[in-house]
Amino acid sequence: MRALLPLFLISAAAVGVEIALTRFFAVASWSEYGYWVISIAMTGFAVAGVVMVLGRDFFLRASGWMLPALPLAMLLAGAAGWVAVAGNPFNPLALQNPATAGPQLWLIAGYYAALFPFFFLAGLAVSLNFVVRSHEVGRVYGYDLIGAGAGACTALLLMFVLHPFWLIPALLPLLALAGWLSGGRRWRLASGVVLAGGLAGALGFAAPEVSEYKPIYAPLHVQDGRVVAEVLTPRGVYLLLDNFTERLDTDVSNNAGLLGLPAPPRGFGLYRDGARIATLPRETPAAGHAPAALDAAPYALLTAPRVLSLGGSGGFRAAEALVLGAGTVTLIEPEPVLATALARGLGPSPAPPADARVTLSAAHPLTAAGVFDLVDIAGDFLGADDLNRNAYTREAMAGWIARLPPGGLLSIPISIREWPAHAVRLVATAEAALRAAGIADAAAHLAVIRSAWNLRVLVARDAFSPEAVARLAAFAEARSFDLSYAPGFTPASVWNDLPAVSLEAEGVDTSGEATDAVAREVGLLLAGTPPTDAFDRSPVTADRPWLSPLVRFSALPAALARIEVLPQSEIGLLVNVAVLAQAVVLALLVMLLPLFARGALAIPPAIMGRALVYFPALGLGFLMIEIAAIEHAALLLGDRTAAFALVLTVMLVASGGGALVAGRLRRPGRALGFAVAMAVGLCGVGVLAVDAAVLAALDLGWWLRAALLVLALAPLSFALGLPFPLGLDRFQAEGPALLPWAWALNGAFSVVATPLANLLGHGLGLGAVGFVGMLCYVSIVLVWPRSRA
Amino acid sequence: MSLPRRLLLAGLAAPALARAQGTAWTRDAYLAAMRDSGRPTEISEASFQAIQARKPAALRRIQDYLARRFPEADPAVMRAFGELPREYFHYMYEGRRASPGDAYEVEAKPWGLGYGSALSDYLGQAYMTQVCAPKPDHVVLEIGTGSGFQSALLSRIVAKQYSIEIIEPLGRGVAPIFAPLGYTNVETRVGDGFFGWPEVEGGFDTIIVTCAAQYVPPALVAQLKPGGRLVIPIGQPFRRGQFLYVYTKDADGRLRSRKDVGVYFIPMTGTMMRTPRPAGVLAPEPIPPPAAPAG
Repeated sequence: MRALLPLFLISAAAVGVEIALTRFFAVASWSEYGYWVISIAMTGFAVAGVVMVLGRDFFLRASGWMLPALPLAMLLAGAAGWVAVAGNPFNPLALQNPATAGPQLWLIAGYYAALFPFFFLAGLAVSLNFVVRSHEVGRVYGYDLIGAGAGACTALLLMFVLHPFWLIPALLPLLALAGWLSGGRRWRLASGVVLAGGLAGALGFAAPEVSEYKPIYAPLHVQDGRVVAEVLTPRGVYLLLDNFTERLDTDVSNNAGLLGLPAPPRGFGLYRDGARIATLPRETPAAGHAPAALDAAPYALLTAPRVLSLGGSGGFRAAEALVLGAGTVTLIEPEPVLATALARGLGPSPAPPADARVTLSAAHPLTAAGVFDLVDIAGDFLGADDLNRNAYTREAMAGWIARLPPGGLLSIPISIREWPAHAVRLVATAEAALRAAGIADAAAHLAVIRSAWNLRVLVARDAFSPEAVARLAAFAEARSFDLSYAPGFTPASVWNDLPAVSLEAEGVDTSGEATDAVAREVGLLLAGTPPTDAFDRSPVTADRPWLSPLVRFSALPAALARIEVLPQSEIGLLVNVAVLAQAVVLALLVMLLPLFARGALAIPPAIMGRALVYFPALGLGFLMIEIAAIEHAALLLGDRTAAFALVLTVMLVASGGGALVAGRLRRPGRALGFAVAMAVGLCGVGVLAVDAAVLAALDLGWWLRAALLVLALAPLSFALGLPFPLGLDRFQAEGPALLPWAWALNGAFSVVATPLANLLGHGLGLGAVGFVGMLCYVSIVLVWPRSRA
Repeated sequence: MSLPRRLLLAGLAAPALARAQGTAWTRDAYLAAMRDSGRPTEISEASFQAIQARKPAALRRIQDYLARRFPEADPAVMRAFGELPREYFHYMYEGRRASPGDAYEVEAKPWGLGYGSALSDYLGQAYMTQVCAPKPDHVVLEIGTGSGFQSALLSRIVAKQYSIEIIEPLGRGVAPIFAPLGYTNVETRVGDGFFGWPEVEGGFDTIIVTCAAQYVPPALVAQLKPGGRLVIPIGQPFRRGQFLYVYTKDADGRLRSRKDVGVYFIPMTGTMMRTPRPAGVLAPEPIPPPAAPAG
């Protein structure tokens, strides 16, 4: 067992560093670019397999000193890479400007140079273990996977006590321990020296900083600006700031002064990973501004409504609702730090005082019980937590509509600062939800009101009456808002000009009159003739719960040509495509390796052809299922980081268990068939039942939900762990050189799988991702070599 | 290019500071102004002359760019650009390093100033300046001084220019750069832009505010004169193609907004484009859209 402990530690360190890097990029820069950089670096695993194929004999001869030397080399490469990454002045914003993008591409190359050696050495260490212990690949793979799972778990636990900037140095001792366990006394001595040197370098020379272009930078650098509270969690680094720029940030009419209403009050700014997520009150929340706000629109139609407010806006939302005449307010705040602030306050910000009319509910937004006249989503709800987008799906809206009493309303906000088409997609979702709730004449139940920058879709259980439309129109007119759509309503003029934005056209229609692109597009949508262009305005669904990207995959060339027009929310699509393109190139090179290394890979062509399907399919299939599972688990647990860590840990550890068992099986072909049947069966049940199952479990306690997730994933993952070692054993019987090549193929297609799954999920849905994963596993049964070549 | 237009551009570029200060803009004048503004630096005569040599071409690009998006390039804006020594504003405040050699680059781009701010590209700044429609009797307030270039540019056209920078170290660094150029009609301060500059009686004809909030601060609405313009650039500092929200104040005090996307779209059917191109203005060569008109 001790012989494989270093491998366990190496895998733990590699995965731990990968997770630590994602956190570093999320805090210091932007997570989507971090994903790009890390994906590039991960190609080191695949390249290591290639090198092992070409130099297998050399590595076998040198394994005596390489096995202890590699973790120490990783330690040094990790420390040096961390210093280089922290000092890289990459500015992701400049990438979006063709005039400034060039130097940034070189800086990305700098990240690659900094991180590639670490992951290359990790891949070399793992594949060398496979080659040296080719008679027990099941055990090797088991230790590799279980170590990786332990690394994910370790990184998650460290995030509770360490700032992300300290995570990588904290993981380096794992590698020194691996070196210590691998060799004799001299290697133990060397491990101590390398650890001391590596840590001294990593701590002494690395100077990680938060990008000066993140929203937190300016408020931290104004006169008397200060941090008054800090919370470290795996979800993010939360900072509460006190400075003169911090005010409640809600969309109030420019006529507030004319209406005799005050400006929104001052507060503390709460930032997560450098992005502002809410304002917290300095004292009892004031809401005198509320009647001037766009958010007040539904209250103009209701008398003393019972309000379900999704998102508490730091405590201001309930105060606003009461000022606007709410009878009772039930607040659901899914963001845990904001929920804590509402219940107990945060730092110097007090919790809002108790009020008999206000209830703080622990229910999930999708399952809130009770009768509410108004389901009101706060303006900052969508930006407060990535998972809050699940409230913007057809299924979520249909559920609330079905529970509304007569006269009841939903009020759903969205920003229109960048692209009006986002709002049209929201209206399309609301229309689909009305139909799903059994309301055929959706157009009679919708109203759209907006300012220059924000928009609210009002969805009514009963058709809007002419009186209700007149009240909404009067509300809008008094505040210089625009009623972009209401049944039977035609606006006299447009207060807030909103031209259409197109990727296809280089010109814009400026006829002199103010225009309302939302009004035009919603009209077309409700008439059954939605615009057909580069933008996807189809309804957001539980299977495809993303408002962005809006750009259709087929319109990618237009998007690249007009990259300056793309909002930040669309950049993830381009990053995925860039990662996919480079991953495919690398995968093709690995696939074609036998052409360049015929001597080293003397394998019958038929077997080679089967290997070219078997190992890529495993790389793709495992990741497809894992990524779909992470998305569903995030909704189930209400926490993306916890979901990522738990799914990764369970899948790796249980797969490792499967791999350990695989090494002892006498009839590998039959075992493979059984494992794939089990995996595909469980996965199929999952694809069909996951939405309903997650919804049914949302109101259970967190630990119970986590336990259910483990129970659901463990048997599936166990089955997924068998095919790779079974395949390695079977294929290397045809030629020992095939083993490192198979490792390289698997690694290369794992890199392909992540962006491919992201694109598939956004384009076709999570069900499609799971289905493709199942197809991959079916394909490996079909190409399994039943007899010796 | 026609001869009159060539002469016009040469005329705009050559005297530079002479019109503003009554002295020639030479290497020594540049070095003295940099020293007097608390940003001492060095530059060779050859480098300085190379910068000056690039200026006419940059002015031509600005003229073409504006002529594509408006009926014509505003002569006042072009004159102001001609007077301003842009190299004086190329300075990294976080690190205290001058980079005059970057000025008048062929492909207009933003340049980092440190402290999260950027000197916007000259095409975008020209565009926003013309959108502001500055007049000699105007009083203008800018929230977000940044490099100071936008304020300096407007100050060459309007009667009085005020500017507030919220980031303390940047605001302190930029405040002394106007006096050495003789720009006495620029007044700056460091602090909260939310309340505008209430001491200015009569309000402002134009207010430019880099606004990340969901609403326009009411004090700015109150300090805008009837008929005045409130211009808000939206987008991050390096992205090409920031657009502008332009608010105009009615006589009754209410605001109407226009979303101006002309930085990355050419007006196609507007009344502006129906206006015949002025004589002597050639069809422009394609020029990429600008980046942040924010600093």
